[in-house]
Amino acid sequence: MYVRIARKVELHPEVIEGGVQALAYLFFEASKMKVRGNDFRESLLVLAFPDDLNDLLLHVYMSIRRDVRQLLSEMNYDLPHYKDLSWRLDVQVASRMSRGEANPIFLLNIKTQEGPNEVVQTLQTDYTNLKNVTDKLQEALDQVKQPYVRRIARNI
Amino acid sequence: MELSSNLLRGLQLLGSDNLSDLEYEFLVGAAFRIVTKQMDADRLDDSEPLAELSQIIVKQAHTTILSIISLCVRANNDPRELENIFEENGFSQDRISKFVEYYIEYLQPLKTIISSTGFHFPHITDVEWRMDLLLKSDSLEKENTPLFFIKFKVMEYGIPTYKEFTATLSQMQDLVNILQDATSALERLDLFI
Repeated sequence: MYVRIARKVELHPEVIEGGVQALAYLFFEASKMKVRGNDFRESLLVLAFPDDLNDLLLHVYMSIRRDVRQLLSEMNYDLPHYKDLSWRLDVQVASRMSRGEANPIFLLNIKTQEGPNEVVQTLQTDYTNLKNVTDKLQEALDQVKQPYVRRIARNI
Repeated sequence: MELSSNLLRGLQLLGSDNLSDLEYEFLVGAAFRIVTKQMDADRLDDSEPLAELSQIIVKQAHTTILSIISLCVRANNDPRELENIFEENGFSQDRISKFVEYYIEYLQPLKTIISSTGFHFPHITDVEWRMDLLLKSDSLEKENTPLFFIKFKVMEYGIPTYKEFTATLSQMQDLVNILQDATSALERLDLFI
């Protein structure tokens, strides 16, 4: 690929390769540090590029920044994380050991991503436990709105 | 209620004079205690009150009592049915009332044991959570996003295991919404609450 481009612009392929790698490094580092637009532009001034080139670089940076950060976050070691949950409600009416008792049972299919594997586990629970779990997790979610958490997030 | 011939023979033995009233009472009490795990089954072999009886008789009496208990609790019989069974097999009134007394006393724990016997998927009993604020990692600086750690306590045939995973804010919101959907599904049906 470098050879093709080099032939088109009449430059040495190694020059092209070096240039591409340098630009890639620039964008990756900037995305990693989440550098703001102005700061990015200012750091480019050191290179004494023409203005329209700086504008072009800034434009490209802003458009790919989010995707690069997404890519970088996936490169880090991955803890098993939640993907999906499907549920279903059954009523158990009888079994070998019990007749004539109706028991509502929730079946939960929890899908998690553990490294390269997608793990699906089927679990069950009854209404009381489900309500307890849901309430506790809602409580966890509400923590984000707490002023204490907000203060810390803002000051970091 | 249809009873097998083995069971009928056992009942003949239980109600007969081969067992004294005291031995009968001890056997019945022991059987109930063994099933509800209050007593060890091995203790039956060298118990004082049963010293006069042969091993075979003790075994037969014990299994008969256990079979009756299991049949009746499974079918959710009330004490009247129990009395009928014993009357049909010629038990003395005294022995009948002793058995029924124990039956009524132990009915609730027996029902609990029976309803938890059987196969089922691992059962979620509790959840622990933790919220972190992810600041940076070696590949990404300035993250500043909340990260939740969720741990379900799952009981599998009496053995607790844990299911642990993480979730970002949006994943957590998804999860909680789905769970709330599920709980409201039952609430809407307005049963058993």
